[in-house]
Amino acid sequence: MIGLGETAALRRYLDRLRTLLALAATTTALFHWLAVASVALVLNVLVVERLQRWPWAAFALAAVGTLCLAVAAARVALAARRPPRAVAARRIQVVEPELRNDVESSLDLSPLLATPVAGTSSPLVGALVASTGEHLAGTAPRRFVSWRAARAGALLLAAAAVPLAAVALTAGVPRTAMRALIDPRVYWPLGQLEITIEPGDVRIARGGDLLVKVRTGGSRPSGVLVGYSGGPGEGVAAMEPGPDGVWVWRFTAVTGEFTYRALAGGVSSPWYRVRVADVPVAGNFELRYTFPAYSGLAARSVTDSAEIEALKGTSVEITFSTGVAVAKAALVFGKNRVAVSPAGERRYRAVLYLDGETSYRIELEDDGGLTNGGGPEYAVRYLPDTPPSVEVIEPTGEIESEPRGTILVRYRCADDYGLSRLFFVARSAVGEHRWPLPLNTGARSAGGEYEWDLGPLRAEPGEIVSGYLEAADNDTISGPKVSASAVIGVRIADPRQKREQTRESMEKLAEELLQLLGEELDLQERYKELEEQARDMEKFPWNAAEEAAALQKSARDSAARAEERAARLAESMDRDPGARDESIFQAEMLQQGLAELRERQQAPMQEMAASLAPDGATPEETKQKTGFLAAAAEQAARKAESLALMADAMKRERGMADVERGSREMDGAEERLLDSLARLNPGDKAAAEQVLKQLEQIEQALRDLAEALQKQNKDLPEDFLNSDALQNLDLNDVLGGLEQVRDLLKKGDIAGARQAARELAKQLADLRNRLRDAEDEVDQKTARAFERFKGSTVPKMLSLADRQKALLDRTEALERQVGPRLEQALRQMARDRSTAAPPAEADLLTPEERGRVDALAGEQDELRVTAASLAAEVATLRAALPFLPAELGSSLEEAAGLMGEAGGLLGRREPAQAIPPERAALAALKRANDRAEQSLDEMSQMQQMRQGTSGKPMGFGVPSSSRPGGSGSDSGRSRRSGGRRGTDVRNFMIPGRQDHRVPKIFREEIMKSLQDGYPAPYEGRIKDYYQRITE
Amino acid sequence: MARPPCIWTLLSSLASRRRLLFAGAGFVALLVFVGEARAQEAGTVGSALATAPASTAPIDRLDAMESEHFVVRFDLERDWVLAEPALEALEAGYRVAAGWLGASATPKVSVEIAPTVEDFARVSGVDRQRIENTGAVGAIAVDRIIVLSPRLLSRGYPWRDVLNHEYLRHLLARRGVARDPIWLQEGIARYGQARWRAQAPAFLDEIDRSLVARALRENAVIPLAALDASFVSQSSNAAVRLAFAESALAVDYLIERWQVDGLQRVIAELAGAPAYRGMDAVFLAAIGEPLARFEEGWRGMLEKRGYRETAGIVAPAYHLAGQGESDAWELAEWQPPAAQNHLRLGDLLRARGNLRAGLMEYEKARAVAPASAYAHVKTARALLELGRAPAAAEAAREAVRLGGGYPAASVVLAAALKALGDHEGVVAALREALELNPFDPFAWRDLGRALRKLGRAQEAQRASVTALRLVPGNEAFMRSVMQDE
Repeated sequence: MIGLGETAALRRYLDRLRTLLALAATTTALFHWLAVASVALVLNVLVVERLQRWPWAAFALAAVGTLCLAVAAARVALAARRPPRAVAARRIQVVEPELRNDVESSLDLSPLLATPVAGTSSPLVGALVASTGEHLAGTAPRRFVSWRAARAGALLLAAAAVPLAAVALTAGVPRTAMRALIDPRVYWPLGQLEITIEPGDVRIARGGDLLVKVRTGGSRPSGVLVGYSGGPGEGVAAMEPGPDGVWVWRFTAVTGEFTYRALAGGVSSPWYRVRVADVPVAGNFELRYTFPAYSGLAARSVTDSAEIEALKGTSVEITFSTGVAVAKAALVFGKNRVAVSPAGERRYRAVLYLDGETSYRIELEDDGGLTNGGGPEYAVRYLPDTPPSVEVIEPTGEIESEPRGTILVRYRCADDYGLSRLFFVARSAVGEHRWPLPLNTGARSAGGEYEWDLGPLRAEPGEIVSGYLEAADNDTISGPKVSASAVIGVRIADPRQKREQTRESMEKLAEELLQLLGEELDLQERYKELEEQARDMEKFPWNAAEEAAALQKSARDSAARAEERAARLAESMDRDPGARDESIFQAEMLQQGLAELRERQQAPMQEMAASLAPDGATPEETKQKTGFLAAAAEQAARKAESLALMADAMKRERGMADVERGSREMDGAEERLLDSLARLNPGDKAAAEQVLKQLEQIEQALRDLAEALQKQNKDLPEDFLNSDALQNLDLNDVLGGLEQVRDLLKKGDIAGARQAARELAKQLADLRNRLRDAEDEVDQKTARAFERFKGSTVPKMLSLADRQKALLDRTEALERQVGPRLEQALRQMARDRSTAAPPAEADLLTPEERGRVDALAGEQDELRVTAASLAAEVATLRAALPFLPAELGSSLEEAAGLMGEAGGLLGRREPAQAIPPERAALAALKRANDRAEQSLDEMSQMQQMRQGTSGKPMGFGVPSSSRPGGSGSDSGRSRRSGGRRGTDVRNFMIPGRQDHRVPKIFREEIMKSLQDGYPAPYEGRIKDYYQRITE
Repeated sequence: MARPPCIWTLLSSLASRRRLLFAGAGFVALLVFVGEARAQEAGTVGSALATAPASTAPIDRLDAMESEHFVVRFDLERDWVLAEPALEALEAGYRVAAGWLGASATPKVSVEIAPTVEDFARVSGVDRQRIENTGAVGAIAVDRIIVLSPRLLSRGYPWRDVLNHEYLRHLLARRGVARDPIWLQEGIARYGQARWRAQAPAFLDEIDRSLVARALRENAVIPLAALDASFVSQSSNAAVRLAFAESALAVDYLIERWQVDGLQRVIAELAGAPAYRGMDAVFLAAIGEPLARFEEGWRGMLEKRGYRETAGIVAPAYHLAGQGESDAWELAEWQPPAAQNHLRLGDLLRARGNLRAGLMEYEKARAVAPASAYAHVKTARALLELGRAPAAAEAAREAVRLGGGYPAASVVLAAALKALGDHEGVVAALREALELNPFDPFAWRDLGRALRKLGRAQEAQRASVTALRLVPGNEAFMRSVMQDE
């Protein structure tokens, strides 16, 4: 029948919807129940629990909460029931209004299909049901269920849960509060009160606290009291309510026995007894340390402290006393319990082995079971055994070296308890090499220098090899601790390229210095001409003066450039271990010399040249300025000459160094070759290869040497090139011998090769000897010059200054006698208005004074000759000692000139006039002596550096002899450890002529007397006199 | 002064009378006395001592060229340039000696120009060290004269004067005067060695005069009786030069006061005596004065000459060629060290084209070492390059004056004179240079050019050909020889 099937489907559809509707309602009710429970619980905790004083109110509130919760639970139960189909149908119709009441109608009329009733059209009902079913078929039942109420309930629950969570997390939720949700009678105020008390009778430590806890059963009391009697007195105190219905009270610092009980709601507990006893305490500690053997520390005892401080691995014997007799004692050391043994009356002992635990305590218990509560923790502190400190002092960072160079490594290392081993470790592409360094057994520190030979590393140019120091301490407990220093990186340079670069730099520096010299000489000539032309102001060439000033600027720029290059050269060589220390020193000397030139000569010249202008220039000024400039230009030219010669010498010395290197590289080569040949057996290809390789090395060394001797011989000193030892030297002979050995080897004629190698060895030895002889010749010449300078020239200079000083003193003494007489005579004549010729100083001398002044004149002349001769001597020595400063000779020449001037004046018996030049001469001598001292110091330094380098001393710029007693000498210090020593001339101003003038105050005083007014004929004479003696 | 007998002197005197005996006796004598002779005799530049050859064998491999009275044997390949000028100078010397000394050699005298130091040492007994220390470059033996090729000394030497010096000694030996005193022989040789090229040449140069002046000032004039020892000891070049200068001045005094006749009488006395009787007897017999009086007069003459000492002047040592750079030697030994630095700087500046600055350094060197010929030469060159020819010529003249046989000084003088247009002067200067070093092709070339300018075409051609022969196969040089500047 139509409609029956649709009716069943409709009912199923509606049943599913009913289920869903019941689920939504149940969920909503459940959320509400939970929200109510949360609120009730929070109220119980926060309000009910605290309403101790109003127990009925508390109970009522709890009961309300329980009731609400019960209502909410009933709602849950009701919501869980499925609603009737009609409700579901109405729900559909509410959501789908276009169905009007079709669903309800279908539901109501569907029974008619099974049991038709007259008057109703079954087909029509069937069609309604079918239509409704068809309409609902496209819509899922869940569409008709609303979850809005459930979501609102969830929000309500969440809102209630927040305070609950806060309470739970902060104060906690007492169990009674939770129980009260179900059974509010937990807060019922009426009924039999029961009291349970803790700890009851008890024995406690004297001075300790006693915490009394009381629990009540039955009715809930509004308060609990504790009553006590005994040592602390007699009284009652209100106990504090605690969580879970526990009431607490603390008796603090109990010193005497007493009894106590609890009282609540008219009920009291029995009295309980509290006894007091002394706690067992450990004290009077004595610790005896036995340190690990490696530390080298002696055993020692410490009293009055229980704290341990020792090295790991130390054994500590702890002895302590207790205040009372104890029944049990134990030492707890970390997780271990160490047995304690009696060591006398109330004295105990335990032994600890310090293995890393950081504290210990001593547990004690007396006969009555009273413990010390585990005892306090005593710290165990471990003395640090630090790893060794290893430091490379020099070199630092990355440096460059030749493949077979050596690097001086200065190091130091230390350890707190001793070093067990020390290595220098080097790494290259070939592998790692370790070289043990000297170390005394048990030493706590070591240091020194190590010549790191790069040869065994077989590094190629461009490679970076590294080296560092590795040290281990002697810790046998934890194992040796190993430390490493910072790594020295060595970039392997192509030695030839490096040498070539240095050579080029030196060449350029020398060129720049020659250019500078050219400019200075040009200036010297120009200013000399200007000085001459200044006599006629009308024709004075101001344009030429301007040109000279421009040239001067250019010269200053040249000096600055050269100074910079010298600095770069010194720096570059400083980074190159293959560079010679004295070369670096020389480059620095050049740099300093250039700085000196710029500051001492060029700067004042520039200033003066700038002031030389036609505007307002008087003839006198112009003359003075050009005079100054001419003199300064001459000095600057001398200085530039000196610097150019120094650079030239440095270049030549470098040439000698190349020869020396070539010679050194062959050192021992023949012995090695002969050894290899002696071991060579027929058919031993590897050994033959080795010999051929050695031959190659010798050949390369020979070619390098030939290059040094021939290609660059313009840089070698003439004495070396012209040495007898090098006459007819032909390296081709040696190369020929070498080729012969090689040919014989290749032919397999070992015996022949040995014979030829012996010949070759002789040739090589001869070659080396000849080179050495030639070098000796150069050295000897320089050494002789230096010895002469040190042993003869300088002492003579010092003596000359002394003699000049004595002569000046005598002249001044004479002048003190004669001067006043002359002054008096002149004044008298001025007062008398005498028209006679004013007297000369010579006229006023007594016969005895005339004798003295004549003697002074003679002596002054002798000194002049000596000074001139010394100047010539210095000039002579400079040919062999180019680093001897030119200023030395010029100061002596200046002194000689001034002495001549003074001698002339003394010869004319005018001692007053002779004094200024005498003083100036003395000043010049002092300057010369200062410079000589400085030079000796510098040359001694160079010599020390040379002696510090490997191989035989060579060269000509630096003498090969020592200077005993040289000022500031410091034999233990090399260039690379801190730069050149000696006086820093930048900060040392050598006094000039101006510095030896009469002080200003005296000059003014004397000049003031001129204001007296003399007759015109005398004025000039007197003025002249005063000016002379005040200059 | 007692002196060991010189066998070669004896033999050579015998040879003049009994030639046949000469060769055999000489050989025997050589075996006996060679060691002694070696130690005693040597020649020096410009004034050779009598020399006892270590070997009588002539030098092998030499070619010969003859003139009327001489046979010059030389190395054709290396020393060809010397042969003709040698014969020319010797023939001139022959004529002059015959005139003033009244002696000449017959038959032809053999002259050997040793092509190597070893050859010279072998035939003269003068080793390298003695050559360099004393400048001994000539020797005589029996009927031979041996000189070292000037090619072998770094600065050459006045080799044609030395040839004549040795010829004069040879003549004296022939006359039987090759015995004591040495000073007389060497004095005569030195006095007359340059007469082949000039009527009355200055036989002392500036260095010699300065040495004499210094000896006078220091009262260190060597007495005549002690002069022989000075020759023998040859302690230093300066000492030997002083001995030669004094000897020549003694002869000069002799001739000045007693004319050449007096000298000839002295020679005759010495030659005629069967044995050496001492100079007292010889002088008394020849000039009527004992040696002491003669010496007194000689000293007086020295004082009167008024020679002036040049401060710092150096008697240059002689260096064999090929041992180091000659320039370096010159720098090292001729200059007071004080000047060396200035000279080096001057060279460095000049090489970089900074002539003005270079000149200033040279001037400083000159100021420090005014007697340095080397410094004057350097200065002259710089001045020339700066176009200051008159000053250059002045400096070069000073260099020539002070140089004591310094070819570079003459060459630079020639260049300066050329710049001044003084071609006669150029020729004279270059000839002077070539007298010292005839192997300088540039000097020959410039000589040729100068001669062409003077219209002396034949001489010019000879000079140019010599230049070309010295540098064969160099096209650029050939062109420069052919072109006039």
